[in-house]
Amino acid sequence: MQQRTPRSLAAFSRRGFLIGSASALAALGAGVALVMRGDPAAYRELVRLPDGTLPTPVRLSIKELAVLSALCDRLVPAGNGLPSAKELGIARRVDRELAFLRDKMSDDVRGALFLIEHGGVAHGSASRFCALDDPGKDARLAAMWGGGALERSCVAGMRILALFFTYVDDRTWPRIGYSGPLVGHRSTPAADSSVLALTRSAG
Amino acid sequence: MRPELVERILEFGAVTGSRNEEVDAVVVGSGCGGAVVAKELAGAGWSVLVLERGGLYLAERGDFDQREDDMMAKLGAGRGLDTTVDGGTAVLAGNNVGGASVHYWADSHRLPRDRCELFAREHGVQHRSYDELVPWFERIERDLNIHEAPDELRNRNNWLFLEGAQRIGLEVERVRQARKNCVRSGYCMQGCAYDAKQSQLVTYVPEALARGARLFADCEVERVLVEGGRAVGAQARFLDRRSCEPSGHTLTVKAKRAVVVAAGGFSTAPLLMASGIADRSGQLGKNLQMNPGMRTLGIFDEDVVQWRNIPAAVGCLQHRLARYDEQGRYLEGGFLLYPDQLQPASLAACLPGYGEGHRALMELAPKIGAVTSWIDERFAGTVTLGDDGLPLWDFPIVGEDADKFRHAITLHARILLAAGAREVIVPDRTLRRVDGRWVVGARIKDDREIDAVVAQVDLSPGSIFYAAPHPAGAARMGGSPDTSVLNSDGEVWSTPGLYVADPSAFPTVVSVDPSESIMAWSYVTATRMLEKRG
Repeated sequence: MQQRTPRSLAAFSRRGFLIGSASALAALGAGVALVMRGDPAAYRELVRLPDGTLPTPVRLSIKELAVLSALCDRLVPAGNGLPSAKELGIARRVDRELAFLRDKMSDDVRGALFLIEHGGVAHGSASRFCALDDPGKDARLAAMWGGGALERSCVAGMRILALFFTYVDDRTWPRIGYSGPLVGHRSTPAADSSVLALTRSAG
Repeated sequence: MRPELVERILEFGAVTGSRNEEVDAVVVGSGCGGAVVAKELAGAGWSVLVLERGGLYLAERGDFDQREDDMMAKLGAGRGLDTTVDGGTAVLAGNNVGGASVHYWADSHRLPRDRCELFAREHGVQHRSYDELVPWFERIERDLNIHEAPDELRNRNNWLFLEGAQRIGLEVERVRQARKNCVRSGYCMQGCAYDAKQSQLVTYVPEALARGARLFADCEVERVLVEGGRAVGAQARFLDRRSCEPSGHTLTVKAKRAVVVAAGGFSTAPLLMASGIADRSGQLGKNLQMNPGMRTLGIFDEDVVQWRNIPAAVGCLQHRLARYDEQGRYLEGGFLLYPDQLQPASLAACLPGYGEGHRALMELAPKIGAVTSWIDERFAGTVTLGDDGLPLWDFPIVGEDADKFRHAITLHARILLAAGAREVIVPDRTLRRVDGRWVVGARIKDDREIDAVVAQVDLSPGSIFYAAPHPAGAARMGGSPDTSVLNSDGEVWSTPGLYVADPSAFPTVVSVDPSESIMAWSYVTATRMLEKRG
């Protein structure tokens, strides 16, 4: 016997992912963002490169890049030989990829990052995501993942970007038993957001 | 592709200024629809110019490097990252010379007779009965070397699917494949580096060029030009492939006989809307179906390595048609059952959850097998133009379509367990802490658990990540301008000289992989066009 999904319930859950986030974020209010805006210096430290320099984001602000970096570290946590998201440059990769996509995608990602950083009030916490320790971040993400359709969609959208760009990086392949492509060359990318491109731009 | 044919393709690096062209026909898109029409019109002596928004990628130039990020960015519209407005379903469309056929699985099915009859009976479609299509099917099958997949094209995941499905009494058949000298690399979705998959890139596109057609790659059509109510050409701009931005050079094409839009099921309707094409029926952009699909995963004690060899050499089609009771209530079926194939990064995106629980699953990646289904949906969505002028695809998974997924997942789980999976994972948003560890996805270890677990699976967007590879319906064909966008010649009712040759024309999805159906319908459209305007 198959369970039927009530149409009204299914339709109710169909809230916009990131595209609908702007109106929801407005509900959060600029005041909340102001009170919880965080320390710019702390955000800079989150994204500072090993050589001490600050990256120059392409589409995101330093703060957004920092939130994305902190988020990626929990979506794809280092361990068991898996490099950290920061080591892999996942946040910068996503930021650079956004430059090649329709503007709406950048807006959606910004909206999602805002909700993740400042959306704790919906769960009874005034703490920003970046200010939480790792267990706190995990608890916040779990609450959002299990929360309303909009919160879940924001986490889901960022989850896909973080996971995909982690596991296309050949530094992760030994951990997952993947021996890589059979052809022995890299082709010229169409528009390049890869680690190689990041290295070139940093240099 | 032979060098003399490649020379007939203009790429972004060779565009040094804006251009004007005058031809008999301009064809927008070079996939299964556009390539067929271009080939047929060029073969009849028409001057034909094909405009393709995406780039030209060739095996002999080493363009197919089998890396998921490189190839998804090259071959996928929106660099493979477009989704429906709720973010829940990936919109999989081609964006390259050869269209989506360059990344498809090469599964080849004829348009089912029941679907041909439905289109005629309920939508008034003419000239496209199953019997009328048979000569075109036979020609396509000969040209693309379509044949049943032999045993050597089965990877371990295929064998497990076969064993599991047969153990629970399902009928499994060989899936026909458009391949020649397949080397079983597993990188079908990344574009074949060996020219073994018989995509349009290695079949009908070169044939069209050999017959005299020209092709401009990296050329995005912004609107169809209409004068006096008749389609007369296209306005386009060239793109710089390195930045995905307009290069500043434009193209104006005057088409004396026909404008053929074959931009794909996700993009054709938006282009017609952006062009201000009249539509008395109000159906343009409506009726969008897309065969949303998902997979269920099984963890085995042996290495499965689903990413090698071809995706689906076998499949089960016995649930293709949905069954209803006497009151019209859904009972079962409405989907195909296939072994699934994903390369590791795509697998990561389709596994459930995130964090330590997800990482633990990825460490088992070689041992993960999978079964997938695309549902033959009853309900439809829409495509509209956003404020930025780009398409917005709004697609619900509701009512009986959700029930189809539950029935499909039930069968996935039974197949995987019967094949020996020690645990089945339904990739929904389930996230639990068990014995100090994060566990992601709904888990099934025993047949007796299936019904209870599947009943609780959260099918909402963001919980399960769906992918939609087979759009249809947004510019549907029919017998009346009051109810359809196209007439049975494939011509837009309101705009003489404007044709659509891609799955947008199908009144519904076709319930199987649509590539052979698109080609067959495009042959009919080209033939009707030549009879009328040749």
